Amino acid sequence: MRLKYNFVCQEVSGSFIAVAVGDDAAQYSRLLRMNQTGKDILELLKKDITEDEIVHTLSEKYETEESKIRISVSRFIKTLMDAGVLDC
Amino acid sequence: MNYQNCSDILYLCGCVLNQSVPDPDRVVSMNADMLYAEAQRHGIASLVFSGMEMTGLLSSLPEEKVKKWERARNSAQRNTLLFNYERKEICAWMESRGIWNMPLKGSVLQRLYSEIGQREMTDNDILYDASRKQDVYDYMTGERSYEVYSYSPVETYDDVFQKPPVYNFEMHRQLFDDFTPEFQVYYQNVRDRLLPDEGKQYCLHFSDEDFYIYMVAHAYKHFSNGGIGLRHLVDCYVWNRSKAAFMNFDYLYQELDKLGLRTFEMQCRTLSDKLLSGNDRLETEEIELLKYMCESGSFGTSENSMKHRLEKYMGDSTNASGAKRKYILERLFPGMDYYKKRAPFVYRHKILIPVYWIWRLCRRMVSGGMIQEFCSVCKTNLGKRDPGSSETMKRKEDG
Repeated sequence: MRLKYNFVCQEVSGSFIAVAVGDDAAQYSRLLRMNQTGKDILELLKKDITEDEIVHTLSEKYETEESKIRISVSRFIKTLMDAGVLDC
Repeated sequence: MNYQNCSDILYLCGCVLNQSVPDPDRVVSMNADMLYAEAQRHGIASLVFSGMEMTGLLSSLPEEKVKKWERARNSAQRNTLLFNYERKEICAWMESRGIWNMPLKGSVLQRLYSEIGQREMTDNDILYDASRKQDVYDYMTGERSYEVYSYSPVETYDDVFQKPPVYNFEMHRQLFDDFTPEFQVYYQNVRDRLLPDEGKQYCLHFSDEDFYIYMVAHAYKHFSNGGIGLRHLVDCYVWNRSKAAFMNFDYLYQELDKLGLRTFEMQCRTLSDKLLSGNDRLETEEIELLKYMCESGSFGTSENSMKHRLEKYMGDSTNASGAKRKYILERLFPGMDYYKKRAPFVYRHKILIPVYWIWRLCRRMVSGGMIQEFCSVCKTNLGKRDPGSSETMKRKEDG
C-alpha cells in the first residue's frame, strides 16, 4: 500500500499536521492531525510498503513492544483508509 | 465600528505571541462573535483563535461556533503549507534556470510567528528578474498548470497566476507601481540591494533593515490608498520583537527619511507595542490611527481609496469640486497606465482606445457601479482628513 497523494507534514504544538500539496491539493482538501508515530507511518507510506514492514521499521526505531506498535499501526492505517488517502 | 473589539483582538494576539495568560477581567467583557467577525476581516482569525484557547471563552460557546474558529485555523494552516510547498518549487525552478527571485511579505514574515498558520496569507508575492517574464509565464502556465489572472507582455508591475484550490501567485516585475512613484524611484535598482540565500545563487533576500523598510513602504502604499488592517500592527510587533535588537537603526532611519516614512513607521511601531502588550492607554492620535485601521480591514475600503485619490488631486488647494471633476474625468477616460495593466491589447493597438472607452462606459453603466461611485464622489466631504491621507502624513513628516 502507499499514499494516493503527495503529503507534507509540519509540527504544530507538539503534534503534526499533514496536507496534500501541489496539484493533489485540489483532489484532497482535508488537513490530517497526528502524533509522531502517525507522522512516521505517513512518511513510510510515501513508498509502496506492507503493514508488516511498517511495524518492523517502527520496532527498530522505538523501544516499544511490537504488539503495541502493531495495534497503533493498524489503527492509524484504518484512519487513513477511512480518510480515503491510501492506495491498497 | 467599535474599536474596542480591535483592541481586544490585538491584546489576544499579544498574549499568544508573548505566551502570557490573558487577564480574566478583561476577557469577561469580550464578545466572541464580534471577535470572530473582526478577526476574519483582518486576516488574523487563526492567531486570535490561539488566544481564545488561552481564555475560558471557548467553553462558554456552542459547539458550532467553536468549530467555526477551528475551521478558520485549519484553513490558515493548510493554506500556509500549500503556499510554502508551491513557492519552494517555483523558486527552485527559477534558481535552476538562473532567474533571480525573492519571496516578499507574508512568506518571509510567517517564519517569525511561533506556529504555522498564525500569519495568514491569501496570496504569495515573488519579485523576479523581469527580463525573464516570458520564461516564467511559460513555466507557470505550462508545467505548473496555472491560469493567468493578469499578464501583460509590455512593461507592468506584476503578473498574477492562479490555480485551485488556493494558489494565487503575484509575480512582481517591480516592487511598486505608478501609484507611489517616489517608492518606485527608490527601488529602481533593487537587485543591487539583495543578498543570496545560503547555498543559492539566484534565490535572494533583503537584509533585515531593507526588508523592514520595504515592509513599511508597502504598508504605507496601502495605508494611504484603501487602508490597511490590524495584521500590519501584528507584523510590526512580531518583526520588531525578533529583529529590532540586531538592526542598524542609523541606516534604517536614514532610508525611511528618504521615503518620508519615519513618522509612519514610528506610529505603527508604538501603537503595535502598546496594543499587543496590553497597554490600552492610547493618545488621541493613536486612537484615530487604530480606528482607521479597524475600519480598513485587510484589504482596505473603496471609500478610503476614493477619498485619498480626491485629496491627492486637491493637494494644498481648497478646490474640492475641481478635484471631484478631475476624479470623474480620469475614471471615465483613464491614462495609459490603466491600459498597460488592465487592457494590454488596447495599449498595443491605441487606435482601439475610443471603442474601448465606449464599451467600458456601457459595461460600468449597466452594472451601476460607476454611477454609484460618482454619486459617492459628489457626496464626499473633503474637509476632514483621516490618518491615511498623504497630506496628513506629509505634515507630520515635515514636523
